[in-house]
Amino acid sequence: MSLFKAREWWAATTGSEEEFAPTAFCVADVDNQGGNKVATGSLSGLLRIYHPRQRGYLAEDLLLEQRLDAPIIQLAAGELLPGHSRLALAVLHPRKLAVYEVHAGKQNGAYHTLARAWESPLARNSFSMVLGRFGGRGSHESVAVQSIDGSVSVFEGEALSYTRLLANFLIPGPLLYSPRTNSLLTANSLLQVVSFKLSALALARADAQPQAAAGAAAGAAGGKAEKRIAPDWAIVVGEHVVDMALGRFTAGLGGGAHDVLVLGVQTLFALKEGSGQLIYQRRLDMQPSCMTVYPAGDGADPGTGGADNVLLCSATGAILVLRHSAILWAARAERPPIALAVSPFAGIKGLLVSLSAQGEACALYLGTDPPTNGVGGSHEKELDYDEMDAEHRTLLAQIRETTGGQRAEPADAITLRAQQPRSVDPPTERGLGDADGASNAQSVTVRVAVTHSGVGALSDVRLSVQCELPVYALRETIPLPAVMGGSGTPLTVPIVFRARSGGSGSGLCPTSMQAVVVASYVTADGQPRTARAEVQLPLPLVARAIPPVKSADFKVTLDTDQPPLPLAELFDDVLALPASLGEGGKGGGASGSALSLRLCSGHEVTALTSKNAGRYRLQSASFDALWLLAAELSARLRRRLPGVRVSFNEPLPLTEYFALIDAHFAARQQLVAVSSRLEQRARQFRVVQKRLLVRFKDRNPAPLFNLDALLSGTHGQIVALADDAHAARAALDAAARALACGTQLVNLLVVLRFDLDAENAAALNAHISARTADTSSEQGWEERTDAALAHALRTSLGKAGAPKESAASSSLALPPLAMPSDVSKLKKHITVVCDRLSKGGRFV
Amino acid sequence: MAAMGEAAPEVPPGVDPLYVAIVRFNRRDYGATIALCTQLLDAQPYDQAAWFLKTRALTMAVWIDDVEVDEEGVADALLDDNATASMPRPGTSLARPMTGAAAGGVNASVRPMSASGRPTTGFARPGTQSARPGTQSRGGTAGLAAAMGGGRLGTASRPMTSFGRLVRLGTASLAAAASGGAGGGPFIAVDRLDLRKYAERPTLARALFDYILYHDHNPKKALELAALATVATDFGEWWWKERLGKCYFQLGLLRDAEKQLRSSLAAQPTVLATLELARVYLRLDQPNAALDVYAKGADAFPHDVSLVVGQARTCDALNEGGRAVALYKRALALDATHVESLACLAAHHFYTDQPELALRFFRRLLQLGVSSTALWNNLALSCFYSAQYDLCLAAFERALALADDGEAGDVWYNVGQVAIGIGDLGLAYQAFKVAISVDTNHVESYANLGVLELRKGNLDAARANFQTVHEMAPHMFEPFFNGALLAFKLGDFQEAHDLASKAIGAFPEHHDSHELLRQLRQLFAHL
Repeated sequence: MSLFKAREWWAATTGSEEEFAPTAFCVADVDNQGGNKVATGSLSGLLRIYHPRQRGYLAEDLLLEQRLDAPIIQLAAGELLPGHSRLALAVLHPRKLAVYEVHAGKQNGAYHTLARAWESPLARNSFSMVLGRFGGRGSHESVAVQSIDGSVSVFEGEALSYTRLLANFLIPGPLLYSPRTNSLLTANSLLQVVSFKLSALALARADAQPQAAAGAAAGAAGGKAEKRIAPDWAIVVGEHVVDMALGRFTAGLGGGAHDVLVLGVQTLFALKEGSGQLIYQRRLDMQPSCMTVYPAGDGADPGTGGADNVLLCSATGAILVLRHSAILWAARAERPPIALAVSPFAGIKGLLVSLSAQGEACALYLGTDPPTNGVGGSHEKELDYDEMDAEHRTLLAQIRETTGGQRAEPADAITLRAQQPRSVDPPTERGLGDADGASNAQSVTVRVAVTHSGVGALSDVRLSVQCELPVYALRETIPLPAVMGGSGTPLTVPIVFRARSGGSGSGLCPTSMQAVVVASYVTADGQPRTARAEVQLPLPLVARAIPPVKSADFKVTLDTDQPPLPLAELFDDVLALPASLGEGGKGGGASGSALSLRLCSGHEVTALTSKNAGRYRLQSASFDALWLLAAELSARLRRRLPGVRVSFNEPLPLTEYFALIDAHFAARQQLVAVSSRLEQRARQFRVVQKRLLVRFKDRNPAPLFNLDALLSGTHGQIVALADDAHAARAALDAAARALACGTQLVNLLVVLRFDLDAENAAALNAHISARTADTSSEQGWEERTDAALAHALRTSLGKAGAPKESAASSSLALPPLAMPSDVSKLKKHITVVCDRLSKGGRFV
Repeated sequence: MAAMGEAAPEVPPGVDPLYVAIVRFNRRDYGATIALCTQLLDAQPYDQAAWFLKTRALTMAVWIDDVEVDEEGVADALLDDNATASMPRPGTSLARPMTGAAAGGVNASVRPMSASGRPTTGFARPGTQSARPGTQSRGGTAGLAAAMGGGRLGTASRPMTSFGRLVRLGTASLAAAASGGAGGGPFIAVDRLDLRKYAERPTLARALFDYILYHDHNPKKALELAALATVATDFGEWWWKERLGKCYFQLGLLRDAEKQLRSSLAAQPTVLATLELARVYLRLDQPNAALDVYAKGADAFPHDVSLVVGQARTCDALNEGGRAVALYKRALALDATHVESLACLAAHHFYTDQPELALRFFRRLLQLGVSSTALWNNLALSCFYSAQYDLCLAAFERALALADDGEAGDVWYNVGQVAIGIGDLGLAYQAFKVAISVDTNHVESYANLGVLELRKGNLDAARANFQTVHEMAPHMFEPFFNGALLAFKLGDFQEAHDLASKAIGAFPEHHDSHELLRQLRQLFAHL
């Protein structure tokens, strides 16, 4: 972790892909011209010497660039030449040690030249070297070279004085010379730091000398047999040692004494120079890569006490400055250094010189800028509060919409608009080959406008038409190949409705004058969707005027609070029709106070109006046929006389209604009975069949015992029963139709009698439904209606005194619906509901 | 970490490949090192130097600092037979930390508690969030459930055994070796080695040991080798004893580990062995012994940060906040860039109502290059509470941009807190909803959502939220108290009493709960 960025003052890059050893780096006044130079050497053998003179790199800063004939492993500057105190550059090659003098060019700006002072071949591959005045004597420095396989060769001048093998050696570690104790320190594969007295090395027996590198390798495999030099002291640090240095680090050192600083992979150790005693440990929470030691301050600063600063560098480029064990500074370098030095340049003291693995030499200083990466600017853009506010509002609206439960329809949808027909088609349009041959049937053409509000075309839109027999549509499904979007003229589709008056649908009383047109389509993004429109079909489609008849088996009287309207005016559309039924062309119903209609089912219904009071009487020979005229009459009255109050003041015709219920229930029972008998016969048939098959397959068949006769007899019975069932189903249909008509009439009368508002009327229609057709055999209309009414009586229509159960609790305990054994309970419930309604009870 | 199957780098002509390998090893380019050594070993199978280097490189490539990473496994936590007292006195066990402000800790109503009943620390480490499921303190299925659950509910679970995580790492490195090794199969087939032979070769033994322990994660084999090697060195070497202690610790033989580590420390005091020994005592649930060990180590090595931080962590775990803060400050004096200390001090200042100071600490962390969701989130909160509203939202935006699924819930929760602070309850409601949608176990969001629902008048929804929290986070007292208050107002006195008692159980000094209980008792007396 670094607090600040180490800022680059000067940097030189090589620009080529060379590899650099961390030791091939030296900061010294190698050309003896004053001022430190930076020397780097690559494994490709290129030696470069730079002289940073100002901020920023200039081409003149490169004093020397020369390719030596061997890879450069280490560079060191020292007074290596006997006789004078000029610095010379020692260059370690894998198999050679060379010492060069660097001569500056004669003129200012000329290139430097390199003069080899001496060189000495090495018997083994070298790893590192260390310079020092070994033994503390001598005017010039000597060189000790550590080989990669564990030997140390000490040179006196250019002459090899001796080579010794070190013990417990596999991989070379950092090498250090301690002048005070005149010993070489290194770290070995036992994770030890070991110290060898040079005097002991020099005096070691000659037979410890190796013969050759190959021999040494074989000897190492031989284990203890090899004579290797034992160390002066050794201490286990327990970690791989990255770097070692001498420095005044811990408190309380005597003058001139140093600590041995050992940088492990996790810990910084300090050892006593003389004994190797471990006196300091500090675990580092970084991965150290190199270390350097330099004197703190310039000696004038009393606070330092002559202590050295230690620079630690991590693999990620963090540079820590430690003194007396506290971290003084932390900075981060852009390029992780593999070697570090501290040197003054151009009058600036204490610049950090670093070498990166790619050979970039940099001079850094510890700026107080924070590191740039990782954090970044926190204000890329000015906050636009209005925009944020607007976005917030739209988001809130969206949230409200989604949590509100109602989803908006997508904009691109198909809408259907049906033109409500006022009358039947003129006769010219019909007669075009009716399938039923009922050429005298009326037809109504409804135009449905299909609009697509989105863009583009929708293909495969399918219109389907639903209506109740006897009304039918000529085409029940109409595929539309393409519906164009946009606001153009909508596509208009004519749908022709007719009513059956003969053929298979004859004799059916209309149960509904409503038709539904549904468009189903798939939107552009693949959602299946539908749109629907409802069409109210005109009365003339199913009824036409006939001369008044007198059949008053069933009568219903509707009262209004306004003067009566002439029937001819009310039913002008019916009367406008040319009477084509052959009943004496003039449509005798126009006699003002009486109007008879014949429905397509053949039922005749007559409406009479009173002369003075606003009273209308409807009468017919069949109860169920009354509903259509009653519904039409009340609707037309309301339309013609806005604000009119239509009422019904007679007792409700429940008896007639109950007769219809009985008939329907009887038809159901009949169907059930026939079905169960059919089932029995079928089982019997299968059993007989099986037995017969067994007989026939048997090798020694038993006699048939008239089973064949039984089989054919059963078959005959099954056929007869199937016919019966068919008839029973037809009867049930007819009963259901009559019941539907009756229900609508009774509901209408209930509404009129108790003056229910639209909401209650809808509730009534929901409770006593006109949907009487038995879609499944499990649930019939009787038990459905009974359950609905029982529920209504327990809840909304409950007695005033009794506690009303909540809807949730009462719905739990209901038994599954089953066909009742009789309908007396249902009748009772209907009576009670009417009673409650008459006493002011309401559904809602 | 470099890939195992990396191609060997090009060696410049004239350079010993071993030299390049060593240089690369020091540069932590382990993939290149391994590749180079593999080449060398192919040419000369008995090259010990190359074998040694490759072993070390393989080890270092998968090495983790196991002194830092420590989490008890489920089995260790539940079948813990090392506990010395079944009902320890407060402050002597991690399962029973000091309670209340007496120990210098902060009030639970000010600083939120982790599941183990101590204040949340400022720095998430393995084990800081989860409760120690002591068999002695809770027992039964509650302990089991707590042990199975992770720290942040539902996010991470404990490993089954103490070195379960290490075993997983071991299989991972084995798989990598099998797929990346040139000859197929692992580099060293440890099971076939004659460890006795290697124990007598000191140079190879240490590298081999580290390989077995850190690469193969096979502490039994490693223990065998360490035992043989200790014998070979006449029981004199601290390193082998420390490694023995490490093996025993991983195997769960804590008393043996303690013995070996003490012996190692007697031979040579080291920071490493001190940390290991303290870890053993913490596992033994003897925090005070651990503190002693840390303190002795800190006397010997006064400049080591890890020892000071270790003490601070233990004090935190014992709910001795005051001591911990002093120690964190000491650690910062030694290393001003210590992230954990900065974070913990920042949290301390934040919860002691000094958001400005906390903000300075968090900014320092930011300057140090830490950029995480948690930091931005905390910065935002500090900004908000120190009235720097303009920076607050930007910081939250950054936190959300950086957040992964595990952390986004927390950030949204804090956005909700800020929204409550500015009175935008709609935003707060949505933020808590988002937090729950990200992290379905975010109990704090449920708790606050409950309060918001209560304000809206949705009593059933509020109760449902409170009950969710009651089940998921029995260590939080606020939802218990809120639930109790709600039940009290609804007239359900029995439930109110139960919940208030639980709130007291979670936070014994909660005044409001005591007050509610007192009222309830009066009511019961009247009845």
